[in-house]
Amino acid sequence: MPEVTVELFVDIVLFSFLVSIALTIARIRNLFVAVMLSGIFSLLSAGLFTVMDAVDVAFTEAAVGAGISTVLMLLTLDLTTEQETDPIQPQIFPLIVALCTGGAMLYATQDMPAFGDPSAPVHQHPLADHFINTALQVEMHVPNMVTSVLGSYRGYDTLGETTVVFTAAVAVMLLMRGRRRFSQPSTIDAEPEEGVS
Amino acid sequence: MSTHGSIVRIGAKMLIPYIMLLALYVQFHGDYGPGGGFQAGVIFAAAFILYALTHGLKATKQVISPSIAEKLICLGVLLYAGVGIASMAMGGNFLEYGVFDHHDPSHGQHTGLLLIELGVGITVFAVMLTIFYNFAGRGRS
Amino acid sequence: MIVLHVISGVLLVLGSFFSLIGAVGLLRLPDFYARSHAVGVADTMGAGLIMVGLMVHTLTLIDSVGLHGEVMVLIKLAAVLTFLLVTSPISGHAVTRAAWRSGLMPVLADAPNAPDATAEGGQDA
Repeated sequence: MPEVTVELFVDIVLFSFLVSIALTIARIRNLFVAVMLSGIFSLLSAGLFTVMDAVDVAFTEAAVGAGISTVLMLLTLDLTTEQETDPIQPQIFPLIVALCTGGAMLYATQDMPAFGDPSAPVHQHPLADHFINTALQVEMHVPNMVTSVLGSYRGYDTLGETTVVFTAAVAVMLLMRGRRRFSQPSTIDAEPEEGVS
Repeated sequence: MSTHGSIVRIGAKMLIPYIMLLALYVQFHGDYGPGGGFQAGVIFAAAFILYALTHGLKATKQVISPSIAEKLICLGVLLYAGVGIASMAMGGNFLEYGVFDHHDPSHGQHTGLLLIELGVGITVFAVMLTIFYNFAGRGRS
Repeated sequence: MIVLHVISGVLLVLGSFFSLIGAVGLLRLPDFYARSHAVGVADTMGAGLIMVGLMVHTLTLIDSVGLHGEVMVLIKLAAVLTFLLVTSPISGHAVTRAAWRSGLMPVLADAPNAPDATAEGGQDA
């Protein structure tokens, strides 16, 4: 049994870190510190995903959340002020709404099956056995089951996901460069800086 | 403003080829270990963003200009959908990779997975780079 | 075999101890430059020792026939160790250089904002 208690200890430590970081991000006024803390938050959730044996997701979360997202948020911070403006009055009603929603979700998770329980309804479906038993040996000979489901069994979904990423890029381009017709030179072509060293 | 040959610049120059190599490794080993197109595209874009942060945005735009990045976005999605159309043209359903190799359908699965992961990787890389180009260099306006 | 287990355990504990020292320095030192020095040095040492401990632990998984797949794990751990040894000091340097270039002045012993300025109050700068 010692592996179960070590894993439980690691889970408790990681989750308590996540909760304290989330509370700090909500309370802090300096936006630069908040961006850095959100990068640390992403890295810790990547660690949690690894503990839960979802290594593909942890990979992507670490690369996107702790890497690229932090850079993009810092670039956005360069366009605006660094100190969050104080709210005019204490916001009681949003706090009540958030607490009620969180409480309802906590109440609903009491009915969920335990993590990894083999008798959970999602594991009873015949497709789950089909994917696990025949995907490697018989049909595909692809050792990574996640890739075989993502790319082959559910390949149409992944085509939709790629189109969503494409649409996100189109939306960013439309938002950031949409004012050209006022005969201002596009700011993306003017480079005022050399980059940091 | 920035002196040449500073430590960060040299460190970045040493590391960027290996980051790109890791991205290619993750891309093409998605069948055998964790990885695939999404992760590889993000890591490859991270190498370019590191170059832009240390050597300047203008030098990065000389390597891959924004117009080429925009065309790469479309190329990735086109590759993915093109694999589906090609499998239809060879007699199967949309995105049925088994028809790529009539003697051994699992070999066709490998081919199909390789091509679509390549499409996903190209699109994700180009999207990350395009979003970075649109945000960078604007300054306090 | 048991010697390798003991060595890897000692290395892992030592690495965590060095990271703990870095964290204590981060909390207790008075000035940004002192803190960045503590974290950069101690964290690199701690993470490096943990990596070496993991490599020694991989060696304990050798069965009687040979290394098998553990060679790939050893190579990957060595690559991560090299990457860490290169990037951790460089990022500490980058942070400190950015602070210097933006004008942050270090707290010197004879400055008015030094922690024990009252103890050296009679001396010239």
